[in-house]
Amino acid sequence: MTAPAPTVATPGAARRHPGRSRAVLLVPAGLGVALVVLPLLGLLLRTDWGSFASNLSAPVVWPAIRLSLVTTLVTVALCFVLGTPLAWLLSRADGRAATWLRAVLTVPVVLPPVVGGVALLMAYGRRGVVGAPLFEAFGLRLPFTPTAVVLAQVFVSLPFFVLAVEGAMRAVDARYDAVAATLGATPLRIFVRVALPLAAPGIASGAALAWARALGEFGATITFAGNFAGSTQTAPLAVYVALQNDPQAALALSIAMLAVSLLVLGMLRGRWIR
Amino acid sequence: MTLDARILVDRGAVTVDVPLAVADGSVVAVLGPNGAGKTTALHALAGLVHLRDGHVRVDGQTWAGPGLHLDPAQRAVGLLAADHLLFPHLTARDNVAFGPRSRGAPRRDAAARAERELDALGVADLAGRRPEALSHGQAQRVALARALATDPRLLLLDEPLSALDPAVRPHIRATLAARLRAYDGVTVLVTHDPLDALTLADHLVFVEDGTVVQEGTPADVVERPRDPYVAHVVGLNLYPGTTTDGETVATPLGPVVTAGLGHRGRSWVAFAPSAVALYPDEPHGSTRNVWRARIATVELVGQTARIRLLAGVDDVPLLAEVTAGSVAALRLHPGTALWAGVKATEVSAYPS
Repeated sequence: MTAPAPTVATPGAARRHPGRSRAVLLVPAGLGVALVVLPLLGLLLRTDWGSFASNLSAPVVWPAIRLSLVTTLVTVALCFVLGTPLAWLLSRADGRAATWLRAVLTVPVVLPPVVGGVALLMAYGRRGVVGAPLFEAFGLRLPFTPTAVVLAQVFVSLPFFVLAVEGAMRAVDARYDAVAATLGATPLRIFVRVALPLAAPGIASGAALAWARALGEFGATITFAGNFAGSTQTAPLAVYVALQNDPQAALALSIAMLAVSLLVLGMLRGRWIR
Repeated sequence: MTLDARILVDRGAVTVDVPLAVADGSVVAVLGPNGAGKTTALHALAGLVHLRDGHVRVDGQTWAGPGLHLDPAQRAVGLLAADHLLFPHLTARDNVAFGPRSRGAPRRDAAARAERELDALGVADLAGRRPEALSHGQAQRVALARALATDPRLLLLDEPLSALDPAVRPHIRATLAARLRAYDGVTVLVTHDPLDALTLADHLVFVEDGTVVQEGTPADVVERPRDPYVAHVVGLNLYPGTTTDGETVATPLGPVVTAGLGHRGRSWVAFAPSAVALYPDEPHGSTRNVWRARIATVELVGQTARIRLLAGVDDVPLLAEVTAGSVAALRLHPGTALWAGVKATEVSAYPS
């Protein structure tokens, strides 16, 4: 009988040991999970479930939820109407202009939202580039209105939508465009009848991304639209305010937003995320 | 002439310059190796690519010319590619109806037209299916129906059979031939398969590096290739050369004694691979053309063996066809040195 091969003891033995080596990976990975899961657990554990229903009916809650629902739905609709043609044109363009446009559209993704709010004020504020002439001509005042809430949300979420949908439309074989053109389809008909149906899953997930980003929007909104209960105080702003004087209402509102977010994520998983 | 075109397009390093003149109801095949510019020429006819110069006229109507470019949607054109490219989200019927609908036909008329086109190609029973539920051959027939449903004056076929399973190819080829006979417009077929060209086309145009190297009827081209690629496609050995006596032609292979050509000067020499006989030792008989040769490759196709040889002093490629039996009897394998011979009566020669 031959003896089993002797293990070579070296200073690096710990690294060679599969179990210990795996632990080196598991510890940071586990810590990462904890950093994400602990706050969510905290939210669930500190919520007073007995009075959840009554907290949810606190006066600050419902107007904020309603405003968030209405403005985010308008935002998503605007993203679809404006962003889908933009994504389609970008997906079929390969010039320098398209590259630059793509880069510019990415800016709001990386820009601190507060800076976005300041930029919006400089554009649409009473002395803004567009805001001043609008006010002088029509007496129209955009900042601190629900319209401003939508503008802020579109500013931050349209880029998400366009980038996601452009990817989906790029994946639509360009030879379909060519065939449709030889069959007599105009560019508009190719967009509606070929590009939209074939990119539908990508459009849906882009819309969900844009919606989630709009729902969570805080910095640009509070800077540009303010924080007026009933007219510009969206759910995230209401949570922040309620945390000062009615923490249980803030928790109830947070749980409601968490539930809606999970619902959207679940729908995406089931239908569009493989 | 119903199609009258001169296609001049820059495509990377290659300049495609192809004139085409085709009468109604006829089929012209454009053949050439990969990258020769065949598909580019086809796309220029469809309007997917802009001409640098030249023109496209169909039925006397100018589709493209100096300062003029009609979009594909404005041209009466139908395009069928190797991949059927049926819209995956539409049924076969809606795919075929897409063209008529795009050109303004009411929904009901477009659907009826689609049914008729599908029926003409024997796939009416598949009208309700999505492309994913069709075989390759079925999908290609639906795609042909779609290309024809807009009454194109110009039907463009881009390697229409090349993506098909070889087992179904003859069947689809026959369907295509029958449908093309009934079609009264002009068909331009791009292919690299000589069988497609010879069975479907009335006129062949060979394109290499963007320019036409030979054109003519299939019979003419098969009999008298004037270009190495054309000879390769029709399966003949072809050598350029010169003759001073109208009988023996000096070629890269060496002097070749021919059946006689009554011409002096530059000539082509052609003979079939099956006319080449192989001998293990130098033959001393009636065969007047004999070369030393070495086998490069041996390929068996059924009972026939295609032997690629390097022959003569300069190792010139020579293709021979012998029976599978002689491969075994003569022990033919790559590297074997032997003698190749062709009778003068088997060699045709013609002025170049």
